[in-house]
Amino acid sequence: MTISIVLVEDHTVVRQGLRTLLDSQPEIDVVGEAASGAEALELVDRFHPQVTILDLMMPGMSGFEVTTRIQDLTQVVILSMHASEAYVVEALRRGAKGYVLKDASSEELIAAIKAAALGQRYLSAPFSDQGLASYIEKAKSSPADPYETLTRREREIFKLVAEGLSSQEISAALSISPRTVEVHRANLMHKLGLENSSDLIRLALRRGIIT
Amino acid sequence: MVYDSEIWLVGKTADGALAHRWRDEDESRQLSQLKLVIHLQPISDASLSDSDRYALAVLQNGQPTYFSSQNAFTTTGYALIQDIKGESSILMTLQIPRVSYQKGQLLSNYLLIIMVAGGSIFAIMTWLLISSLVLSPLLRLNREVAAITTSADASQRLSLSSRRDELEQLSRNINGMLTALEQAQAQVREDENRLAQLTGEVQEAERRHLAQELHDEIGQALTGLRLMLVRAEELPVIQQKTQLKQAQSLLNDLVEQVRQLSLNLRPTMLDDLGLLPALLWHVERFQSQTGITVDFTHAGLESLRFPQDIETAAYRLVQEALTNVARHACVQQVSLSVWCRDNKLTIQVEDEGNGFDVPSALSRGSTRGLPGMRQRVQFLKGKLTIDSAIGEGTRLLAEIPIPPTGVSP
Repeated sequence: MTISIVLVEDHTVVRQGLRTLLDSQPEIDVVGEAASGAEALELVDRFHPQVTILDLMMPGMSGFEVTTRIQDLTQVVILSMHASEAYVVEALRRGAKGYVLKDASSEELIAAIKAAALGQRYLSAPFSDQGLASYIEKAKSSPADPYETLTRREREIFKLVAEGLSSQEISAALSISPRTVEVHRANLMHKLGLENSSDLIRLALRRGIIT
Repeated sequence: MVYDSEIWLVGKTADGALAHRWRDEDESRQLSQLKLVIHLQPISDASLSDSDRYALAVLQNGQPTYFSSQNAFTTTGYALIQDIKGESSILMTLQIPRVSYQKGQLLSNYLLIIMVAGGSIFAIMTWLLISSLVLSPLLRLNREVAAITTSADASQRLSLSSRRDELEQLSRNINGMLTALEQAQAQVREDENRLAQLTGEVQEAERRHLAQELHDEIGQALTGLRLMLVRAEELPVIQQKTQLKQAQSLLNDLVEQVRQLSLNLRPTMLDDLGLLPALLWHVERFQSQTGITVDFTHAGLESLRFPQDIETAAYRLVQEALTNVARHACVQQVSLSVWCRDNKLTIQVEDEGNGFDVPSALSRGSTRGLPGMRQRVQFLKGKLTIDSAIGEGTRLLAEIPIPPTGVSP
């Protein structure tokens, strides 16, 4: 049982190198080669290969876009030189099954093709599910809570204002100039959309910053 | 006789006495030469005029005398003369010329003429005065200002006279404004030149760095690689394998170096994936290169794409702000917040480090690149606020408006 493959890569030298590698594998059958996203769409539509090896960075239609459009017809293995989780996450989000770095070993590429043919996910080293999860966590928006956008200094001043200290007293307590206190104070009021000190105290009470 | 008669006539009334007292000798003499016309008519005379009859009626009512001014020239006095029987039977009329009245009339006419003439002269004088003092300088001012406006040349000045009035003051103020405008234009030109020069310098420095990097690092490594491969040919087969392994590892290093070099110029992520992935990547790299912890919070950016110029500006702004923190702030931690809300992208970089004097850093010759940052933000119609003071940390806040159609998922 051989795996049918369409190979999409705009650099001829790289494509030939890959072709040589794939042809040397008895269980892999390269049914078509494309040098652009548009060609790729056409070949995939014609051959319905089990797996499409797709270069991420191509002029014109990018690998991401091609992935979105062919992922229902074939299993996509992305070939990329970008060793960043951001790219992997985006590729998987678009429906790719595998992500292999261009400088990964040939064994990894073959493994990725075999896994994709079975509908399984494969990421070449150094990527791991753990790494991806940590990236996804970092890329998550902070809760849409204006308080979260306050800096540490602004939070300190917020608390002291809520406790009823004057700018002079806060300036003394934090050893910064009264003007700086005023600037921070104006900024935090603006960020939180507060009009006056009693709004601020209400918010501080509601959030349990003061009791 | 006549003189006496006048006294008799006027002496009967207080008015007459008063009039007499006002007259000077000349007038009195003139009066003395007057020839008065006296008529005596029986009251039963049918030829009595209407005015005579009216006077008669008044006199018969018991009034001793009656005067009437029939026209502008004469006053007529009436009195009744009794006959032997003691009955009033003769009406005496005496016609006196109205000299004072005529003089008064004349005087009042003269006065009227003088007033009209005087008023006209005053009006003409006033108009001439206003015209020479206000109107013509105002017109001149207007002409000169219009000329400068059309020529759009701020180096021109209004002509000044030696007068010290409001218009002159206005001209001076306009000249002052032109001077300020000229200076501002010169400043803008200088800033532009400076920016162009700086951009040129930065570009040149980047090229020099790139050339050096290519030559020293990449070039050397490639030469080394070639030597290794050439030597591999000459080596016995057993050693060839080790040599090729080394060459491969050198090649991997090279690939990595080229990649880093390219990323330094512009992270491909910014174009491929957008602002947030590029910032996350940069923060990661910044932390590992500088050892400074970046407390990065963001909201409303996930999976969003902004117009390319905004993404580039935002990325460069964060990059430069973080570089400044690493260079100048002497801190171990910096907080970076980026959020997009209500069509506005806000970037805040804050540290509690050394701080600096903002005005002097914003002026020329600063190494912090603040003018460039400000220019970048202003170019996108945004606002850059920098709060800092020596010893009190730095807070940089950039707010960039996002065009309504500029956000795409």
